[in-house]
Amino acid sequence: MKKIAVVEDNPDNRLLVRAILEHDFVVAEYETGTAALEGFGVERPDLVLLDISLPGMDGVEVLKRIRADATLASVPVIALTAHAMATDREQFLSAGFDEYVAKPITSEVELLGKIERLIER
Amino acid sequence: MNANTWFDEHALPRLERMVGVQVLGEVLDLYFENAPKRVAAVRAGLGSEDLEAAALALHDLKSSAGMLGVSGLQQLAEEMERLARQNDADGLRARVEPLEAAVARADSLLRDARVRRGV
Repeated sequence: MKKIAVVEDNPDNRLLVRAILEHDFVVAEYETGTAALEGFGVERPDLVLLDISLPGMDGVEVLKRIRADATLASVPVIALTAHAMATDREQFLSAGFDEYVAKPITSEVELLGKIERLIER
Repeated sequence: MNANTWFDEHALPRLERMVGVQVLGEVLDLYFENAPKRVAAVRAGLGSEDLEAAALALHDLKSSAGMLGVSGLQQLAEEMERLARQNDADGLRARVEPLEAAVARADSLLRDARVRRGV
């Protein structure tokens, strides 16, 4: 199974995402960007779900470090964010994210669809 | 904001359809465990003038409340997160008691809804 890394400090959000994904993917959870980057060095994920508002290093900085790492640069990264403005999607895509999912997650079909499109390309 | 918009009764059934009754129960348990800690973190952040810590606690509270359909609490936490990021300690302090009341109201509504759904 493909490996998905979930980088999210909020435990109830992590629990929800894990429950949605774990039937189809191997899920690795990280509470901080620093822990995630260390973990990616040990096991490269096939896709990353990355919260933007993380304590310490925020999601945008984590993305920059992923893109700057030759072994990780091509990994698809989906921004997970509570921001809900209509213009946010374009902002996140222009920042280098491959996709954007707004929280709260209200449709597992939407989340799985976005993941599958990115992971199969 | 009336009672129907303060708490969206459809949120828990929607979550249950997505992840099942057991995980929904675990999500609720986590919320009940963490919401008071987040309010305490807001108070502690105000006390130590660490409004970034308060903002992070409010961000998580906003996110959890949104997931569970507690829009009234979600909106107040969002407003307070913005104040914390603007370094407005007075504005934040003035809303701590309303936040505690909102968390208590959310607690009651979610526990009632949980019993009704048999979660």
